Amino acid sequence: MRNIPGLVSLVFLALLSLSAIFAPILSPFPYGAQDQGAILASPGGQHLLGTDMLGRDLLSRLLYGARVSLVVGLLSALTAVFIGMFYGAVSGYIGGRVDNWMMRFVDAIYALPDLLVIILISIWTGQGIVGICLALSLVSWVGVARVIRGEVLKLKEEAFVEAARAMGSSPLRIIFQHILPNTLGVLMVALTLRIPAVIFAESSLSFLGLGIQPPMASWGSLAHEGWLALRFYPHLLVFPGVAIFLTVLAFNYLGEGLHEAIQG
Amino acid sequence: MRAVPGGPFDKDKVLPPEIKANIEAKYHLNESITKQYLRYMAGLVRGDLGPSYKYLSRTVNDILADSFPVSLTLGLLALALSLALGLPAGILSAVIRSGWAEGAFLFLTTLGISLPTFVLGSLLVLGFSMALFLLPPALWEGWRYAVLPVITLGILPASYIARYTRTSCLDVLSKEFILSARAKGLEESAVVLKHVLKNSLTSVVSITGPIAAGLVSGSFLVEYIFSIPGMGKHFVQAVSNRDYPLIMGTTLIYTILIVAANILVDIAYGLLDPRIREKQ
Repeated sequence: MRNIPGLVSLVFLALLSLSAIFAPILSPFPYGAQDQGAILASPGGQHLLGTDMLGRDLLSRLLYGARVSLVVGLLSALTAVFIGMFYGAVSGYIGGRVDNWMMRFVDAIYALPDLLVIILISIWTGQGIVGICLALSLVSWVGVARVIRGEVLKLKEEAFVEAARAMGSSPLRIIFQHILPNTLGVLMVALTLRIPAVIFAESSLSFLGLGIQPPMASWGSLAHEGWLALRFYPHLLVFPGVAIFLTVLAFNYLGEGLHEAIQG
Repeated sequence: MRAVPGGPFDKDKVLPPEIKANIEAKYHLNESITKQYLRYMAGLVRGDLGPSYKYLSRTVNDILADSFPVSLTLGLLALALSLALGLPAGILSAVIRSGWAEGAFLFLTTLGISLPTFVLGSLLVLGFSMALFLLPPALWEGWRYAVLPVITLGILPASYIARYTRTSCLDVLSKEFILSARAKGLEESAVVLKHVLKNSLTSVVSITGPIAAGLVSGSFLVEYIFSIPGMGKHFVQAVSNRDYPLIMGTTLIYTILIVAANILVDIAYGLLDPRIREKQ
């Protein structure tokens, strides 16, 4: 792989994941610790990125926020890819009228504003990590289903599928044993491009105050707190914003790199 | 939706039971769910979306009548901006085949796609309103108030449109009729304007549906950031307040809007592309 931006992104994301995993060791201060002498401190000095309105160290909160943002991103994207994979494979393999109806349902979800649907679902699922993940994945699987369906439509005409059918394999066995393993590359690209989309959506949701709720904090909810104090303490918004931006950017570059590598 | 714990009239202060009963009777919350549903549907048929639970003297119809034009203006301006930026950028980058221009184009559009709306919006507020004092940071009282929100909302769709235009232009440029147009001695600018533009326009029209949906999502954030009294702001507040009739009302209008946008796209598609017209 000679894709420089892709490689740089991969290294960046690896470092980011490591610092999220080892957040308790790397954080200069405990997550919830309040420094009464340094409330709303500017960046620099003892608190490298400053503190928030309760005197909590922003760098430590960002590191812990990375855990929430990345876990939500990864978990929702994985769920979305799983749902989309099954749905798309079944729809594509059966074909005909069933396929037509299944895809019209996908079109309907696809046509609606994603944030609107996510908010409506999250009213029902609640705003814990699991609830948010569920709401995010119930919306973002449709894109995956479309891609996989297209792949399955191509693959099911191949000779090896016909051979399997001639040998009497059941449709389920053909889908899981013969067709889906061949879509692995496409699935990986779908996963890598789903993650930034989900992180994007989660941070928007949390920024509106409708996502992850305190005391837990994702980058989006840190940005929400920063927004409330933007006028005099811009660092509270700028740092979480930059973190989200760089992560989404890195995942997008990585996904595009993978896409090109697979397309050949 | 009603199964969620927490209701619009749950306050920190515990209300005396008689008052609570009176409030519930006023909004028919003491009736069974089925009866409430039938009452709502009967109202809907008459075009009545019910009272707001939060804004005591206003109905959902009043609120939507005030906020819908604001959101529509914001959305259409942002759509216009994203087309004005995205189309030329996409076409130019397909026509100018230099590595440098291609790299810059891909970099800028990836940037536009990866920059969250709320980060862009708050940075613009920080720069233009709080540091330079050039433009107002909030509210909706004239064209000066529209500049920052429209830019914030328009950048993301502009990047998508630019990328899509580029792809479809490159596709058209490799077709045989372009070769023949060049062979018969047409100037390059005429080739682009007459043949490439027209053919790639149809494919850009086809993504206007998703773009409209994206604008609605973005308007939630933009109206929140800039305190614009539009539907998106009301929707977000209604969700926080558990103001069910207002949530239902805004959702309904959004759905109608999206369906209408998609129908318009289908019609425009047929008008632009004779192949689709003949098939029907």
